[in-house]
Amino acid sequence: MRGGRKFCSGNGNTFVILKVLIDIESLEAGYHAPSGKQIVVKIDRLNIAQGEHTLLLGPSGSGKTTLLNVLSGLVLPLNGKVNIDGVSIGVLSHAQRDKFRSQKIGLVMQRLHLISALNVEDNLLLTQRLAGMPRDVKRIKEVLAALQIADKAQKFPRSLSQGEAQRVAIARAVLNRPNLVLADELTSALDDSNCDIAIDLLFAQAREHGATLIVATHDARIKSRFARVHDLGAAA
Amino acid sequence: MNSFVTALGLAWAYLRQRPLATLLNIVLLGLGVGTIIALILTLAQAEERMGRDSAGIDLVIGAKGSPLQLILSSVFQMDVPTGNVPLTEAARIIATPQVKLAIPLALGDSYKTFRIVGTEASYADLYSATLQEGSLWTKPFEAVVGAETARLTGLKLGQNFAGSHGLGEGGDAHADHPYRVVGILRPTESVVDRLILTSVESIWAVHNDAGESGKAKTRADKPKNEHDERHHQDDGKHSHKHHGEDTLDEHNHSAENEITAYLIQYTTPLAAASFPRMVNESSSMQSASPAIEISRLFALLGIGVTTLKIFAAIMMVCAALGIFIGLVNTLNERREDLALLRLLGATPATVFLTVALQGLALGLLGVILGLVLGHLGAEWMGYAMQKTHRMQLTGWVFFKEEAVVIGAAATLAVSAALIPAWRAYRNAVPETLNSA
Repeated sequence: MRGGRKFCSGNGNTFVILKVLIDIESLEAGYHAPSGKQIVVKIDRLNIAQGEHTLLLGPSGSGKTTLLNVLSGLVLPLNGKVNIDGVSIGVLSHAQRDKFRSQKIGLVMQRLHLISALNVEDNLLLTQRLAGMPRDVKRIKEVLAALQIADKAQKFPRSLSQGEAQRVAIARAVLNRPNLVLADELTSALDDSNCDIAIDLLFAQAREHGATLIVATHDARIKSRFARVHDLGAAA
Repeated sequence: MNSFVTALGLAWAYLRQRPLATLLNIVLLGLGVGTIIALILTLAQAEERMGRDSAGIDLVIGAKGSPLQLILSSVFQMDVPTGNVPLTEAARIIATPQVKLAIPLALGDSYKTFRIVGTEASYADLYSATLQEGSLWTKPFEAVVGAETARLTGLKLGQNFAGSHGLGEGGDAHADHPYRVVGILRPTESVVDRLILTSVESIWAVHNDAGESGKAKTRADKPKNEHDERHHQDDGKHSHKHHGEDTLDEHNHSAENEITAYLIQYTTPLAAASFPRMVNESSSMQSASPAIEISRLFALLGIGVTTLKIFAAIMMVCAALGIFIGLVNTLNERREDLALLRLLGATPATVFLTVALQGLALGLLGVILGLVLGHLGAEWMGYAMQKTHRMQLTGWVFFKEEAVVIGAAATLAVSAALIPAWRAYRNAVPETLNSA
């Protein structure tokens, strides 16, 4: 039964049946170079259940970002298969992958890319619009309020502090209620206390929206916060 | 459609992000477009006006000199006349079956720079001029005033005024021979609007009594073919006495009346083949064709106009270059933005449009500014020239040539954006985001 492997977790008599969210099999990912395929990351098998927040740990160059790019459908795997929420990324067309990503996956990039010409609210409206979601200002206010930056709605990215910008990026990642939130080096540029705050916010938002978090980092500080750690450095 | 609106909103946001650069591009394009539009308006109206003023006139005969000057002075009432010719000789020439209509013109006097033209009712008919009030002249010293003349001088029906010698301001007034306004013409959008019409006899009477032997003064003031002398007369500062002395030797034998020019209409187009030659060879007069002289005039003007048009075109190309450089520069800054757009679900086409629409928006705004500048400029020139110039110019007309300029400017702006837009389209998303 594809994607039907059940996880059982919980304690005592309570059983929660968890669905497989990510199913990776004999994956080879990398890029096409003039000399041929360059394989950066190789994974024989990786299953991540819904709600199973996972840390992808590894030093620079271990393929964390490449794996995230594959998961978000930005690049196609060189070999193997990747299923997300039962959908095989490899068989989708370019446009289908773009749509899938914009609706099902929230992304928090290492550098908190916001559209520089738009204010916070317009950035979030654009996120709804590009994903083909209905315009929903109430939802935007709600998410901003949850992240305690409701008063920044009319501010332009330039005038935001790094912490504020990071919250906006998190707000954008969860705005369309994705199943999966991918974060790349979320905390590596932050000091300890801001690092904790960012992770707390991300966990809180993921819990609230029922999203599964996958965070790629070389930052060992946050290792303890995750139930599951996949060490790419060890796997490679 | 949805992605178009998204791209348009983004393009606008990006333009607003760099207001000064945006303004510079728009102003540069606007100036180029505006210059060309103003040129088109001026030339087209001049051509239209000249066509109207010379309609129905196949040939002009008058004193020898520059044919262009003869046409300018007698058809468009712009230059000083080439001189006068004896009435009897002119009468001999026009007494041929080839001439259907010959309208006499006696020039040389003015009132507050508005020319007094001694002529016949057929001159008013030539421009389909009809009376607003009053009647046409029937006796000497009755005058009919053109619409613009009446508006600008304030002359009213029944009012008396004295003509002054010469066509410029400050000529000696013929105070002993006042004219009386008997009629005011409706606007005709032609040269008649800025004239004062009277009988040929009035002009003769003024100058005969002034001791000039029936010469409208022009000829004496201005020796034939001596262009240097023209301004001399135009400023109208010559006194009659001086004038009389100049022409003393002619004074005795030229007791007969003189005429400045005749506007001729042929009975048959075939007359064009023989009649002008006959005039030039068998009389002391010359003939000039309005059609030929107008095209000669525009050929002369053409060099200046072409220079201005090239200058304006260079401005437009610079504007397009500015748009191109601006977009390429910002493209580098906005690489991450564009990649992020793709990440959020925008198609490459939307990203392409976001950049291309910036070019289009700059182009359209530049064109709109150019249209406003060009038309306001033409209107302003028309207003400034209203007193001095014999041509009415307005900014409130549109010509189809303008559409060509608009199209060219918009195309230029969009093509300037195409290469940056294509680069945005091809922007590799993962590489851009990961090269952080």
